[in-house]
Amino acid sequence: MSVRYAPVGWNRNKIIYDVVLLAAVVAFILLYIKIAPSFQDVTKPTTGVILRSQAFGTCAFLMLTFVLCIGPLARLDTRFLPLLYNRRHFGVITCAVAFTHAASIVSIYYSFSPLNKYVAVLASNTSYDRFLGFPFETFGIFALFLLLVLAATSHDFWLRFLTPSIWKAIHISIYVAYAAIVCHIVLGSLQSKQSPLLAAIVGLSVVLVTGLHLVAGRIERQKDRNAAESAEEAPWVVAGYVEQVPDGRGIVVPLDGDERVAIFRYDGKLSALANVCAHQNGPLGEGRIMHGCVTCPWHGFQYRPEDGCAPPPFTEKVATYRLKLDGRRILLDPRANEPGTRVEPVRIAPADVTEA
Amino acid sequence: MLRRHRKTHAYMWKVLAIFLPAMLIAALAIRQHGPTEKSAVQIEKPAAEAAAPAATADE
Repeated sequence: MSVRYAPVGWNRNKIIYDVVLLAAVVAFILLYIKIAPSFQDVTKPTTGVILRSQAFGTCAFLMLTFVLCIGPLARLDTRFLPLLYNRRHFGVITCAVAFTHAASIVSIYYSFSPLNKYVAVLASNTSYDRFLGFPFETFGIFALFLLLVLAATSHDFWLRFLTPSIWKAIHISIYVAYAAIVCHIVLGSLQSKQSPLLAAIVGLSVVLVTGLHLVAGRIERQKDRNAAESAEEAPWVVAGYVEQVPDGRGIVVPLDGDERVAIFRYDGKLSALANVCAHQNGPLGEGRIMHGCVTCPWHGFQYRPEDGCAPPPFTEKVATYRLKLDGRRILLDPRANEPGTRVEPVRIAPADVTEA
Repeated sequence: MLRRHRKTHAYMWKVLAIFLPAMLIAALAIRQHGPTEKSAVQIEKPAAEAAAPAATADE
């Protein structure tokens, strides 16, 4: 969270993340260039320049596979949350590696064309009516265009300018970019030469990425199905029991056909906030209370539990909800207050305090 | 995450889970194998050449 423009809000974690990532990219490229020649056909040797461009292409595909797995993995197991913290840097580096691959391919294969080499990329094959022989370069260019748009808008400035909802909608196009890259490889590299290893890598990537997203999506759907039931008195719904909320943490309560609510327990009190972080729509209810504030598990944005406001000088706000206790039952008013509205926390009577 | 984003995610991945494997399998199944991909075959020497004495090189 920042109050003035800074290109990157560097901190120790981000520096370590980026250094490890860049070291892994360099190591992969060097290893590929060293090892790949031993797998090549002696009758069709690959030149060093082509080998380098293949190394960058393979690296970009594997990085995209990994970056797409981070989201569902973090949903399935909180130990993957540190990877999510700086995922946007991962995406930007992936884009840079993919761009290097594209630039070197254009230089190698189209430099001697009578046409401008960039025109030649699109004009050299126009068999758009065929499946095999389809100009696979088109998929690569389309994917690179999407990656460039996503990298260019990855900064928090764009997140604020576009609003998290629109920003998120734009960034979902990373899935389309992934599909385009799979098509680019399947109709390009996998057609031009027999490569069981590359086919296996693409197959594993598709199974892993789609499988993880389907499993995570199924779990989320099940959570939404268990919506809070109405209490005897309208408009209150039963959000759970006091002992279900661990001290210093929260529970997530799905509302029927609506957004989820996060209920936090701290200092013998209960407060309810919208479960959606104002920064990047992270799940606040899966965060914890740190320094008296609800802390988003994704990027550490903080909100005061009683009014949903970020502590000064920050300005982010989330909606608050009214709570009341009926014995040990927590009742929630599902009508959201305006973001930043103060709601008096519910005090837990000593008789209600039973550790889970 | 907002509910509508969760729904979009779920819908997109259901479509991709069918489309991507189908694309991969179809492209590999109907792939055309070029003549250069055939395994190397050792060509025997022509019979006349094989029968010729090795000493001809000395002439």
